[in-house]
Amino acid sequence: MSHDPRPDGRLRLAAALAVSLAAAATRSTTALAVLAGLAVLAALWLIVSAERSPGPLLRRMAVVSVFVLWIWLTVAVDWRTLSADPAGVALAWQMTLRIESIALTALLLLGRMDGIDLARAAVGLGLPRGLGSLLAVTVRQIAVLEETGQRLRRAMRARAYRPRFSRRTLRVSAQQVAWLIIHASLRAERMALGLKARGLGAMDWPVRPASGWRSLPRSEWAVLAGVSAALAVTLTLTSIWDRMHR
Amino acid sequence: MMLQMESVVVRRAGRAVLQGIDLQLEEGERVAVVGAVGAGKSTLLLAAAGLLDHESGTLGLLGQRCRTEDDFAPLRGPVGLLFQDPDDQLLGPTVLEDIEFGPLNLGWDAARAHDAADAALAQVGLAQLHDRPVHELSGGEKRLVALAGLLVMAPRLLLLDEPTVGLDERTAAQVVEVLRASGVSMLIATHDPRCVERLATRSAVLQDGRLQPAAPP
Amino acid sequence: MHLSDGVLALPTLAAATACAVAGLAVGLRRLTPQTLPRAALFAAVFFLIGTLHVPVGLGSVHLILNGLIGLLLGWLAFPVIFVALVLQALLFSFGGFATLGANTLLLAAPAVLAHQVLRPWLDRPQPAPQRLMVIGVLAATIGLVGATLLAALLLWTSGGEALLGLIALLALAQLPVWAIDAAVSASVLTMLARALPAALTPR
Repeated sequence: MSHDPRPDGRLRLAAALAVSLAAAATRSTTALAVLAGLAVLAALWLIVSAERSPGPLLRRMAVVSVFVLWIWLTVAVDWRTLSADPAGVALAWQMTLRIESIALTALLLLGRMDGIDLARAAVGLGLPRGLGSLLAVTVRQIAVLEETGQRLRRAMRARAYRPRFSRRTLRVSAQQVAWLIIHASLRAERMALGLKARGLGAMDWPVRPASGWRSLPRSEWAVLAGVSAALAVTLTLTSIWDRMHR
Repeated sequence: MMLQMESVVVRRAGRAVLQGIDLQLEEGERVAVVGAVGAGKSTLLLAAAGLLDHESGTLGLLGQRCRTEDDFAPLRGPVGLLFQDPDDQLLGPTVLEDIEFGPLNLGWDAARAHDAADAALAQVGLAQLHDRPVHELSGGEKRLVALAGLLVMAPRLLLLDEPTVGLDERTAAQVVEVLRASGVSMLIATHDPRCVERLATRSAVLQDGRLQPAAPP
Repeated sequence: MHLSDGVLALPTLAAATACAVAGLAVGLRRLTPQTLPRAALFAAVFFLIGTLHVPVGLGSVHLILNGLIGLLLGWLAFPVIFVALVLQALLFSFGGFATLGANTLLLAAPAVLAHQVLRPWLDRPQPAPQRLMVIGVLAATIGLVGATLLAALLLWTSGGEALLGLIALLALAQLPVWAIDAAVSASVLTMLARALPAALTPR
């Protein structure tokens, strides 16, 4: 059996889920502000220590922030009087902190994992193996589909197709999804036959059973411990703070 | 001049696959380009069709200088490219619908496209297959249908990537006969000596990214 | 149509997740070595079309096709959509991990409904192209209307009147999506019927 050096990300996944659930549960704006602040500090530290490049992080956070913008426009603005609604502003602010802290924490903890890593981590945390296999095979199928899509687009160009704003383009665009499904279905069948010929079933696709918890590296335990401690301290202290300032 | 390439350089994945191609193809000529696997024959055809950018050099198709997609796009009917793998080229659900794809892109009306597709299918000897789902065709039938999809647009130049590879003797002969009978000028990438012998009016060797003329067959 | 992490209240999140888990359990019973390649294919399609953005005003919306996927896969739509959402959350930060259950429910439940309502029509021998187009449009409609209503319900139970504006915006934004989803679904069904009829039948 070959040595597989891929890291087991289940503890990071557990940490990300813990932060998501804690942030979803708390109604304290103070706690959410602290969580968001800690996530930003962690991001800055990783960037400064050159473990992460800021570009991809900022691009991903920009995606999340578009939704946040819509929340402010719909929740914080009273469109009848075209003025800020104080209760709406408070709610929008709370939602913003919640969304940004969860998204940034997930990015920092899971951003370097690919679909296969995630499948293994999730199976390690108890996700049914069938779902883990489906996740892993889907990652492979995405690559097949993307490649198929590129070939289809090249073939269409070679046969004088040029997208314009026209009924022909709308029709062909709608048909492209069908072509993709048809071509990919046929490739999927050949792939399944190929697996069978090699004595493998689809469910054997590379989601190996999780290794023992004790074999996980100390650095991963440290990440989980650190995140858990930060969560516990934040929620406790901010709860006290909120009670004192009510 | 149907195709003119001067000092054309093409890179793929950072590597110069074509390192200064000089090629001139006159009307009526059928030029075979032979070379080992990986020599760059497919790259040459893709570059000639404008589906791969050329880094430097000049390229002319049907007497027009071509550099950008806007230059190549109007020529994609008169210039047809046959891919090495017909599965890369066949798009329609049925044979007839696939052949109609190109003419419809050229703005032909449905009736004209339909009649032309019927005629092209008869030209390659597969009139009986017009309602067949494409994926049910054999390899040889797919190659002929792909060819029909090019002939339907009345091309003046064909770029053919291994037109007889993987075909049995009979089907290969059928493909060659259809191509000869079409009277179209062509650039043929092939390592099949039958194809060179029966189809080409002259040949060239692609080696180390450059074309060397070969003796006429 | 994704609800971000942090929008839904915990009780709503818990209830939606519980329902999604139930749906996943039913779907997983239909996930076998025979059905897995096809399920993975449609999960990949769902993932990729979710990244195709149609510009709408200041923002953009993306195709969904949950109705079509439900029509073709039935209860398998639950694990298929779940997996696609996991990958979208991981690779594009669409939605999130805590709301996976809620997002799975709001997309997969209408998908299953589309299957229950429309499958008998699709299974009739040699359906005419016009019927297939109507089925496609109806599948897209059930999928999107169902998802919008469920999303509205989840938001309403989380924030009440304060989130009415967001609910209205979400609903409005689905109109262009519906138009394109309907066209694509109709096209896919008619083309599959001609080119690959086996793809229309569940295995």
